[in-house]
Amino acid sequence: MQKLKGLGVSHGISIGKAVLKEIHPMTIPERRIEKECILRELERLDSAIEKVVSDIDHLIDEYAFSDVDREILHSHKLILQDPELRKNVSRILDENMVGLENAVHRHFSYAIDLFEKMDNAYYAERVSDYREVANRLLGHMMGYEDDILSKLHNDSILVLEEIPVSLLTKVSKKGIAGVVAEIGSRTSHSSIVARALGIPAVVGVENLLKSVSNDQELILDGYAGEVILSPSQQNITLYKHMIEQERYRSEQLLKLVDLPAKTKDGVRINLRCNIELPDELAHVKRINADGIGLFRTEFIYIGDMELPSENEQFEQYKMIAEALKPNPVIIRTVDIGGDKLHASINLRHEENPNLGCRGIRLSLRNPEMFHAQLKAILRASHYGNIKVMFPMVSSLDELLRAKQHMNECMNELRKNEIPFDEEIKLGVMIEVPSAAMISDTLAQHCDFFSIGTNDLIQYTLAVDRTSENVTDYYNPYHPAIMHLITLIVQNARKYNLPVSVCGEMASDRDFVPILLGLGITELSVNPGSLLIIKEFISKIDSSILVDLVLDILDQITSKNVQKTIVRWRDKYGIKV
Amino acid sequence: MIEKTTVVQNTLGLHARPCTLIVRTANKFRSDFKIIKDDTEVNGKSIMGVMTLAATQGTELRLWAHGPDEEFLMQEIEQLFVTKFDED
Repeated sequence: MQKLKGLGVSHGISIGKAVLKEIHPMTIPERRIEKECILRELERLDSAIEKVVSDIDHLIDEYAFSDVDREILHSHKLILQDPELRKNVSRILDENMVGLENAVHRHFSYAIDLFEKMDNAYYAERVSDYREVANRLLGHMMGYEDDILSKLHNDSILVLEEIPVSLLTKVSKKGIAGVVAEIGSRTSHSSIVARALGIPAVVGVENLLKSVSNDQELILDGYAGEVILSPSQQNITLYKHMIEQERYRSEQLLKLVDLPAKTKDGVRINLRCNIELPDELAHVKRINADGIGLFRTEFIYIGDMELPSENEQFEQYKMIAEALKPNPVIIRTVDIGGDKLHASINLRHEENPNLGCRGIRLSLRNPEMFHAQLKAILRASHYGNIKVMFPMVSSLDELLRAKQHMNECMNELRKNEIPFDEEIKLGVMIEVPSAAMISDTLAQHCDFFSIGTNDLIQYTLAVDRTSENVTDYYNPYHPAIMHLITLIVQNARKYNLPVSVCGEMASDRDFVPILLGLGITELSVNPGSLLIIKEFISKIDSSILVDLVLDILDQITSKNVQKTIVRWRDKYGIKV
Repeated sequence: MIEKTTVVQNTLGLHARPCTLIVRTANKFRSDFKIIKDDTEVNGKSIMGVMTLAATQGTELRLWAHGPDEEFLMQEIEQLFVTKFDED
């Protein structure tokens, strides 16, 4: 048994038999041409470029690529359409009277050489782009055809020096188990297409062709970027099990997409998503979330020279609210910490930005910026179900002042006859211990709470999450955290105030039963965890949760809290 | 013919993405466009040309445009530099 390391460029695991594709090195014909042939050679170049560009366009149209991958394909088009390419090739033809292939080869070798010499990773990356484009262009001009298709079966793992895209699209129709190549990078067209097609792929495996023989049994691990040659029976069993699990999990989870999130006894739970960028909307829709429980708005403020205008923000909020209507979108006003400060908000450097001027403090200090955001949110509320919440509130005073700003913005819009949702709900993120302690008071002045567990833990336990010296101290099982969350929920209940949880705890299967047991029916999680949590919730009967909560609140150490959770799960046979 | 001077302001410098933006923008116009760094001059409509400048943050560049729509071209290109290519 031998293991080869490479780069996992398309996830998935496959077990199969190697089918080797012989290397035919790209031999550039050493032709000489006559002067009068130059024009014809250039016409060949134009038509080859046109063909490869249209191939790329075709790829872009046909597959659902990620934004990053699509961007790579577009950049390859730009390389092909570079006016200097044609100019250079024309000059080489003219000066040297060589064949077109040779001239194109020289042009790209020159470019690759230039980029290789630059000692900067960004430019070195481009080498693979230029290689890819050169190979496609030359391959097309020299008319490589593949006869390998007839040898492939659905348990075949294709082993080759480099994966031609044309081959990949053809073999995918026949169905193969995976591909492994000696050369390649994440940005090779073939890697991009493999990802879109869901074919596990490992590339950049040194000495691959020397080590593998036809029909040899292989395990390909596209996650770890590994190829195991002639694996032991034990290994095969292990990986088969992993494949089984992977398939089962994704099938089971996908079945849940159209079902509402409910406990075993039918209590409806609102499962929403936390998002950071508008781009995540597609994912949110695909998994059929009950809206967005936390829309972080920092992205708007980071990167630009100018503060974002009210209109820019309005368009973004409106787009999301409209897309998810009638489900709610809970927009959190900006929570920039000192670490990601905007150039135009001139703040003095802070030793400890987490305890500095961030969240609502920053907004209150910059009324102009705050008003632009509030007005944008209000205007967008006319187009969907939008709620607002304020981050980092630590006292009643801050909440009242924020509401005062909200009122001013509303009055301004009314005066200008701009429509907005007059009933818009205002919430407070409970993430500072002082806010939790006075949640009884805060509850009387807002419409909902959302518990941000990450910060609540950090501030309650006095642990900087980013400090490696105290990672042991960041402990969500701490009894203080259990008691604080309970207090918040109890206070909210007195005033019939809805409470949701939007920190990592909401997607942690250790804590979900406790949160539900406390009577929380709204959880907001990362899109990637939503279906897993939905499935988990469906296994829990809400009637067995009260005992769990009472038991948890009796515990005096973190370890015992953790043990209690495990014991409870074992008792009711709930698996995570 | 117009010529302007600009400075690369974004942290990462002219890596792949900004280069792509420059070239795409320049190719919308008919005018010729060149970028000059020290004594290196490249075709601003060529992705390879712009990339090989390897301009890092703080690099001073001269922008040169000549043609019927040179002013519009220059305006849009300068805007890219000013907004730091929407980065940082």
